[in-house]
Amino acid sequence: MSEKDMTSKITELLRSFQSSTPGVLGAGVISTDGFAIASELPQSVEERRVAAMAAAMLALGEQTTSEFEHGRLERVFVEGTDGYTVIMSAGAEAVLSVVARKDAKMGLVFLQMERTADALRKVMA
Amino acid sequence: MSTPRKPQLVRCPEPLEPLFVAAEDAMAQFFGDLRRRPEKGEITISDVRYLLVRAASMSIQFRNELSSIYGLRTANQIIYNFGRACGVQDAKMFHKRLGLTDPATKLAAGPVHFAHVGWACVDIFPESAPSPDENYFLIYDHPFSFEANSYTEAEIKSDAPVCFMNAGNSAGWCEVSFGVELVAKEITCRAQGDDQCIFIMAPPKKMLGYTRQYLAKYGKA
Repeated sequence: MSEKDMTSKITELLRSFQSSTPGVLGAGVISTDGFAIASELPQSVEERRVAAMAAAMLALGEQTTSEFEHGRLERVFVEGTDGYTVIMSAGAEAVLSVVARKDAKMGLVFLQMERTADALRKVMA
Repeated sequence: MSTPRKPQLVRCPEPLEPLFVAAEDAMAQFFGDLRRRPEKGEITISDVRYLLVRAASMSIQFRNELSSIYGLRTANQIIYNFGRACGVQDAKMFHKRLGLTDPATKLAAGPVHFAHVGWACVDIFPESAPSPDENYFLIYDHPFSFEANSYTEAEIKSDAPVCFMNAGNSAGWCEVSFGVELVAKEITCRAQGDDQCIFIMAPPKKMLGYTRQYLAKYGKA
């Protein structure tokens, strides 16, 4: 698959995830180095910084999980008074980051994120 | 007819050589005025305050310390972003001070500055195509990278590239020069036993494709 095809497939997966998951405000795929690969994030968000943040949070989550011998990291979940940020691994090279409203059904968000992460792994394999 | 001068600090494709010769002249003047005033705890170059830091402290020890708290991946990200911040701010200052306006001239000042401040030399490979748009691509080597050198001098062999400050600094400088968002990644590194510290630089959304292509090209896939 060409680089262009891969990027458009990733963008398609993000759009599909967003449209099928109520309460999701945006999503992004980031390299483990912290560089944005594709994103469907609100315009107010500065992509470069958010990408770096998401990759760092996932890596910190993995470090913490390992330090406390809690097995494999499932996800990093950040809860604010007005919304959520969820970050999970999408293979060796990528991180999936999602921003959701406070009224989002988080069980559904997690499930759809896992499906999207699986699809991303296949696209990027 | 006299032979055109060649740059002394930077190796680059021939068409770019006059830009680097001009940058070397301008930077030589700036860096020629180095003053050390230990009684004031101060080092200045052309009235701009600089710091001297031991290279190994800024590479091996700094990275180990960050890594022990935040993990290696996050440590590398922090180091990259520190380098980028330096590159962005240094580029802005020098572009203004030297009155540089053209993107290629602005870029040319970067590797020369890099050599003068002791971070590394720069060899720009001919397949580079820097342009102020999404097609920007640069591939280059950092001979004498202070990060890789610190590891080799300490006889520490890394299992991955270590020159994150070099990568961040060059990306920051070039991003300011060309006005497009750029990221850099090291493909081969002397600290892991390679012959050269080779980097690629491109807009972030193109980096994954280039990374795969050049890791394969240099036998790292």
